[in-house]
Amino acid sequence: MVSQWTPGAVAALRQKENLPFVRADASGDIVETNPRFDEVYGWQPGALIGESLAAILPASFREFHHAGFARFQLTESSKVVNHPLTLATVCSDGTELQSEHYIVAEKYPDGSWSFAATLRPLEGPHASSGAAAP
Amino acid sequence: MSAGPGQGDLLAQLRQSLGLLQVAFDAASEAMLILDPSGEVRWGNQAAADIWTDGLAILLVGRRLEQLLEPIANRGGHPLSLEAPVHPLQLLKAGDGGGVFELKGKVLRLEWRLIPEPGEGYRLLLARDLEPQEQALQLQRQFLNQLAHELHTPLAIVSGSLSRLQAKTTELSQKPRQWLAQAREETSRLGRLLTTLMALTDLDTGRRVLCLEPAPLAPWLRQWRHEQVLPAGAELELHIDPEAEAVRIASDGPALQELLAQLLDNSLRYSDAPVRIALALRLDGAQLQLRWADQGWGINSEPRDQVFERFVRLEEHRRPQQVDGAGLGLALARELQAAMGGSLQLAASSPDQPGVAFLASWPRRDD
Repeated sequence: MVSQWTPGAVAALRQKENLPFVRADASGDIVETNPRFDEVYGWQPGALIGESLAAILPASFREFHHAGFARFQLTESSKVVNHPLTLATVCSDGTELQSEHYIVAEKYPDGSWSFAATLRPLEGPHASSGAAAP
Repeated sequence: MSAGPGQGDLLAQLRQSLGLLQVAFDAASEAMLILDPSGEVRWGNQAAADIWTDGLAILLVGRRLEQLLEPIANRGGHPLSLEAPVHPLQLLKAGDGGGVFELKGKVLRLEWRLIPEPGEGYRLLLARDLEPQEQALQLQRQFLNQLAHELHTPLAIVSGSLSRLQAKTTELSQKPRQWLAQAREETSRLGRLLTTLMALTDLDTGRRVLCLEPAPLAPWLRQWRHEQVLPAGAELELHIDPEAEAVRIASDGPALQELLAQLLDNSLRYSDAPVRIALALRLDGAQLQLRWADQGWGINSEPRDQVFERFVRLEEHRRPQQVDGAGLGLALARELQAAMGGSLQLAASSPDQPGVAFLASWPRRDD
């Protein structure tokens, strides 16, 4: 299996354009969102910190998310990282926006993990067109 | 919100267990999907994702069953519309089941069953490539089907030639006339065998697709009874329960004709005169059931169900002076029933009840 994590991937993604960005720790808890993320999906700055990534996924996706996340922690491989993926994202008011996610995973020298994604909204007032690039 | 230290350990343990379970399910070569009562995917494994979403399991979420099963064809490659009674969507309305279909460029065995958890109406859908032995069987059936079709024409020519020859039997001495009569008898038997074999393998290979239409069986059955010309002394009684009168089933006229012709042939062949056959149509819950009972020799050899196997002829049914059947009639009858979404089985035997009784059942159609 090809390594699914890329050194420096999270930093590179964070600086990519002005796209909504979210980062989670090895437990899948959100540790960072950027102002663009808060603006597009309507969250108060810092409101999601400490919440599970599942909080921004529709309920029907959560089982897959939890199972996939748990599986990644065991195998360090996943098919959802490193390429665009269209998924619904939950806004603070409960509405859902189809967004193109680009997910990366990065393993640090101390063995800890970080997961991050840029999100390109495909509908709503902030919708953009064109495929996301890593 | 992050959990406390104790809860954190528990969560880590649970996560590990979940991860292991997912690894196990993803290692399975069989695709598995759990569908909620509305028909949307609730969960799937990696093999399912490989078939339907280019390997991305999370994209299975919310997919509807009709999306997953479109386009689909029977095992002979004939496309099936969503409304076709033999489409898996229609078949699964009748309960647990399965079949072989062409889907996503593969020949797959699909199976579906209701699962009691996590709640009422949930279904498990399984899909897998055919096993090597199933593929071999499929090829063998295709070969048999082609062979039967290939042999049919030359046999018809031979049969015609023998008929013309027999028209001139006055020019032949007694011995050649006997040979000729024997040749015609055997040719005729071979012709019946080939016709049945073609019908059977046409169904096996998907070459024949039934045109199923919802229709009440009772009036059709009355008409069929009216049209039958029975041997002298034979009786065929038909009783229809009032409750069964207007009940509709998904039926195909020619298939029903063939089914009943096979049952009739069976009763006439394996009964002593005078042959008495009783047909009773009744409603049994969601099933319309036709009981076909004769007072013939019955079936005592165990397992009794073997009479539905191909080329099975029971020793207890062999009689001198009687031409053997091909041993395919009841196999064809059962396949025809299955193709109509129904079933054909033997009723339990009883020492004080001579003969044999078959139960043909069809799911009632309320649409």
